[in-house]
Amino acid sequence: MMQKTHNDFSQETADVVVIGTGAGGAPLIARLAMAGRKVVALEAGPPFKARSHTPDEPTAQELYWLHERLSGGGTPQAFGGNNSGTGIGGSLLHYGAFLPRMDPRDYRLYSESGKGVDWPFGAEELQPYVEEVERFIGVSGPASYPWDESRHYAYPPAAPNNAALKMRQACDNVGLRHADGPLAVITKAHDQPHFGRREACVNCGACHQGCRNGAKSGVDNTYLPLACAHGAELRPGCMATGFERDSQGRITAVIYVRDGREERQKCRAVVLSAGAVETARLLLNNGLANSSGQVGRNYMTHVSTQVWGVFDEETRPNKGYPSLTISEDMLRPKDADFAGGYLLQSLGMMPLTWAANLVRADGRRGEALSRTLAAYNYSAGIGMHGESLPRDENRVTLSDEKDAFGLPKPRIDHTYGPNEDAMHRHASRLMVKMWESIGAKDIRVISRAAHMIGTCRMGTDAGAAVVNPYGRSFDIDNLWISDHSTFPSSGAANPALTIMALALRTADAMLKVV
Amino acid sequence: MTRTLPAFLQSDHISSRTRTALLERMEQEQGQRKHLSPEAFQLLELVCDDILPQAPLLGELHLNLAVMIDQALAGPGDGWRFADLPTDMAAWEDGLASLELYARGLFGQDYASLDTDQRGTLLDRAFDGSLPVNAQAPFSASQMKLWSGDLRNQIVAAFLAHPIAQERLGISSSLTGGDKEIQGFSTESLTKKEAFEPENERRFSKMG
Repeated sequence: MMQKTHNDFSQETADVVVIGTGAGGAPLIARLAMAGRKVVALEAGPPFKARSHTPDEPTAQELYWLHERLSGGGTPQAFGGNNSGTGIGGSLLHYGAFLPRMDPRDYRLYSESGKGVDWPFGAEELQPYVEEVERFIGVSGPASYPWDESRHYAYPPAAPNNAALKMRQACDNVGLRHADGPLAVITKAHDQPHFGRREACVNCGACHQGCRNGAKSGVDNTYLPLACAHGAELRPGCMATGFERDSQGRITAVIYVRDGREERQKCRAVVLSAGAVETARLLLNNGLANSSGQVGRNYMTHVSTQVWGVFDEETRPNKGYPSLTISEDMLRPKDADFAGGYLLQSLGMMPLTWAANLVRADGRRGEALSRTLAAYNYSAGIGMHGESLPRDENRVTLSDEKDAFGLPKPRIDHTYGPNEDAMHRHASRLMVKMWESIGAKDIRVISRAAHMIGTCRMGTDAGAAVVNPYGRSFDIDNLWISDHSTFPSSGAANPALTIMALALRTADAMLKVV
Repeated sequence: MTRTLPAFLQSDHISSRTRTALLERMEQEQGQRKHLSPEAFQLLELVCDDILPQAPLLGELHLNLAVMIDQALAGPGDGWRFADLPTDMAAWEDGLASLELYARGLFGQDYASLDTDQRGTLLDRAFDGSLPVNAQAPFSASQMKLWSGDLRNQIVAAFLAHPIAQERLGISSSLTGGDKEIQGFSTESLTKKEAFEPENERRFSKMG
């Protein structure tokens, strides 16, 4: 369905080379191309065909970033499914499409709590971009959003599955407000400009394995076709490895490997949109843009504890949009012993993902484990995403091991601090109480972290940040970063919407100088 | 034991790509060890059954999970590993060799000779990171803790990825839609089973 790329700028000097075609790259590629810039997007992965996506979980791992990462620290994080994609469209090919907005208070965490850092601007600055992204990609949600009366979603909410209904009931029991969450999933068919027909969601439940009918709003079916229609060149199978620079240190070309051969793309400016690990790895390995010493630092995740239980009636957790019900009531709990807050969401889940979370966190084995697997169809969960503070020891570095490209494999160290531990305890207590209130049995708490955020912080002080508030490098003026690397703090919301909004804002800033 | 093809593989609610992947997996599961050493593989077969006994779920039928894991270890992986463990194949050799040595250290017998409770104690202590120091074992107690998570994950993943397990447990996750029409699940069906979904036999009755 993807529009064919007709342009070939390989023998020319591109105005901009963008590395990565996911949430950080795609909106910016489209914006720059629409303004007439000659844009080349280098994507390490292949182009996928949506209809060929498969709900078979081992096969669907083809959507993950498979170049090995080393995960260390006291609470080492799992990569792949929860954060790291490959292919034209990036991690949005497998993201969950849960699309809450970042809460205005989360931009001001330091002012509010003395913990973490503030963003260099507030929610009001990003608001027009957030709304533009929502309008363009297609988002479903409730007619009235309990935590923001002014909000409007273009599509009616998706249908609730059993987990969503269970969470509604549990929220009512403990006195929390709830709603159908904002989803990057369209619930009525839509003819997407420059792409074609996107069908309405059919409740297949396999969002994380790739949406087959175009209902999930990624960038493969929105911004990238728009970009191609305006002349951008998407070049898949190209792993960026380095840069050429002039005597002033400005970047003049991007070096990449395609089909085992090194190639060069000359350019006037570069945007890194490779994600918190790969963006940092590329800069560290090339010794670039790091006069602040901050590249790779301030690596953050979301505290993403889950609580699961077993019910008397069938729940069939693979069916329906997985995490429809939301509550934002815990964004600033009154009895919090931590900074920031968390979102709650209902959880259905595909079987292998569900079992992996279970056995990594829970020690059961033998017949107890067999019995638990037998209860898959009677299981439902509730989960959270919460603020994770930056910590000195949490960072991306280069390991001594080399990958197939001869590049050092990245090492990611991640350890929960007191704030994350306190939030995990608070959320566990609440979610267990909620599940108890609706008669769940065999209730289990699963401690885990999800998403990746930080490593190239934006800020106003060149000594303490890697890029300025528009994503421009303090050290190299034709180098920009557009992805979650630049987030100064994690906030509680799933990061995709904020990444896309920031991408449009960075593109607008670039258009003044590129 | 011969395998009967699960009926859901013939459903028009499954794509040909998904069906092919599941059929290939059934074939692969009936293959042979190819990658792990014979010693490691033999121990893995025992450990698979100790972590996840299949009889309560499948009755007479027994899936060769160790063969499936042996194959998966040679594949592209899932993009990450614990920094404190070696690369996947080496980690499994070391992990299994260590398990054997910890068995001898704790109980003075090899793993195969341990009774059910002893094996359980060993596996639990490996998972908890509380194994006693053993200078011969390639993995320390903290490495055994990390690897135990990988071990258990691979075992349940191999099991649930098999179409026979999916059929017996009534799991419809492969039935998201066919090639021509992507049917998904009807809105009305989200709180109950649709006719084309496999029946949940749930061999274990309600949780105690």
